[in-house]
Amino acid sequence: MATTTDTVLEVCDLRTHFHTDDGLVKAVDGVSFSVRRGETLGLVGESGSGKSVACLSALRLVPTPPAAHPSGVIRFAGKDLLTLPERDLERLRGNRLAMIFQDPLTALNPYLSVGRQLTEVLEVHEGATPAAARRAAIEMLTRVGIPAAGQRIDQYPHQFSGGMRQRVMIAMALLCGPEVLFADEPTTALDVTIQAQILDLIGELQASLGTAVVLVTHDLGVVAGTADRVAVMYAGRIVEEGTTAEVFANPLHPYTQGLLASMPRIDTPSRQRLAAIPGLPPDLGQLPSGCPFHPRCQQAGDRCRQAYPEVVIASPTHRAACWETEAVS
Amino acid sequence: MNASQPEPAAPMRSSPDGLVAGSSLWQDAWRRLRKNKMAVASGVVIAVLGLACLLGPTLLAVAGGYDPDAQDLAYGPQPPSWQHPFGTDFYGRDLLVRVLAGGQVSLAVGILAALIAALIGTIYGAVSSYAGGLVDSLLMRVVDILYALPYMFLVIILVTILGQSLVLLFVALGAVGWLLTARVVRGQVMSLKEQDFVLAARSLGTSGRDIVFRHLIPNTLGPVIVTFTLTVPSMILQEAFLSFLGLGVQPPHPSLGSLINDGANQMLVFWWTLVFPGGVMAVLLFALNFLGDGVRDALDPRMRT
Repeated sequence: MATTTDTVLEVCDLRTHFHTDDGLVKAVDGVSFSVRRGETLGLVGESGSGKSVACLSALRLVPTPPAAHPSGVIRFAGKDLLTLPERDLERLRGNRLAMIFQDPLTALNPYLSVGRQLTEVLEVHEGATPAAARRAAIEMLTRVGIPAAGQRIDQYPHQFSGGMRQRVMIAMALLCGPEVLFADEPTTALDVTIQAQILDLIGELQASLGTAVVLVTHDLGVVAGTADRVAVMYAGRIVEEGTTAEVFANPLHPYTQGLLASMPRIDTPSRQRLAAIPGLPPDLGQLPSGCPFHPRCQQAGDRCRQAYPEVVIASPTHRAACWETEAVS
Repeated sequence: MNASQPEPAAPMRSSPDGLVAGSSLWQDAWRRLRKNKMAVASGVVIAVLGLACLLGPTLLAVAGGYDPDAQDLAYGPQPPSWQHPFGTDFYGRDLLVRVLAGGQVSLAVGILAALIAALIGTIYGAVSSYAGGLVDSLLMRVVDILYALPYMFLVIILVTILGQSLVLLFVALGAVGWLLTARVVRGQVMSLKEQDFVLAARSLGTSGRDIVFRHLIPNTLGPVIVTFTLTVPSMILQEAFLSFLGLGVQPPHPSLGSLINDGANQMLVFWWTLVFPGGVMAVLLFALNFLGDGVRDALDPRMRT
């Protein structure tokens, strides 16, 4: 759990819609969440559930067009990020708000040395002299566990392995000590041993800098190990939100229950097949009526087909959007 | 961009502590270019011709009193001899000196005009593509319109209006020659700007201007250099054509184009007045094209080893 209660970032009713040839795609449709200083919020969901778009929208990095300007309110440092002029937003990005991307192989510029990409951040935001920026960059690279950082800093991204590149990305994102870090599946492209190292690294740096982390992932195992709170997304909305302990012990939404049931566990008998959620995630351009999960939900009743569920509150920190869950809890 | 980079002598040089020293894509490309025999040979030919054109006229003037513009009508056209290896022209001027002096002009025009074209084209294409939307459409329609107008016609108008000076010739050729570079760069940036590293740079607070100039343009330099090396010979040809029409370099100063023009008028009688300037020009264009092809292959990332 978070040690302090001061909220650094609050997202209210965020909506990001794309105008495509196939009609309006509501990638993010009324998402609200908040993170506190030093806290990790796990944003979980299948591919296409709108997790990444939600993060990109929070930094206003979704290209418009095809997306319409995100609506809603994103409160950060007393300002609404969605109405802030682009120039002011640029000053916040990389400085007080940062992001790590899924694929470290493509998120670094292949033609610039790692050092130049790192020092650029410091020169832009802190007006650091090249020498000071270089010292700080070497120090940060050492901190994220890159050996011989003094030499490696002059190398180019293709000379780094995937795990090393992700460390570089983390170093770059954390150089200015941001208050909020969006980590968009930071370990998906890496193998399992590196995955654990990277997550530990993010945790360590988070603890020392007091950064709030929004960890986007489809891996519930990652969430269980690192997140303080979890928000489960389905079809562009948050269907369940609670502390990690609450959500794992008492999942309210049938979708969350399905996700947890499909997770391999160390105590699952090895011959037993994993449970799967039947069906496919819906096409965001043609959402089913009512609760978008109803075609795949075994508990679905008539109400589920007619209207989007009201929020069920199980505890001050735990809530879900489901018609049928009252009976469960 | 990598002035501070140590230049590796071998493919994988080890630094004293056993680490592999940094080698940029440019250094990789340079290594591949050096393996390409045709490109290296072409580079040598260009260097030799360039040096000869740069220093030749001065050296010959000092050593043998050859003057490219001094006429001796009584001496008249002489076939190649030891004293005049390329022969002399109708006015008794030594053709070797005139070819070298003409080559100087042609190379200068070609390289400078291609540089101007590359500079305008790269910035124009990158800005247009990164801005996207309406700005991109407008800027590219301008390119389309200029493309649709007869190229030579434009240059001729520009030269006629601006007057016939050598500097204006560079500007006129460059001002019309950037269209191809602009399109090439725009196409490159179109795909580059969708890549994660641009998004990552934006997420770190990099402004649009810095993204274009620090991140996107360096990534397009490969194709730009290739376009440049292939533009140089085409610019030389354009200059030759303009001089052929009498709009380029003005007599008595020679350029390869005007020398070929003179030679063509009398080739049946004084064959050497066409063969030598034409031969030098052909060799130069061949070498430039081979070098351009070599550079393109060297910069192709699929060739990376």
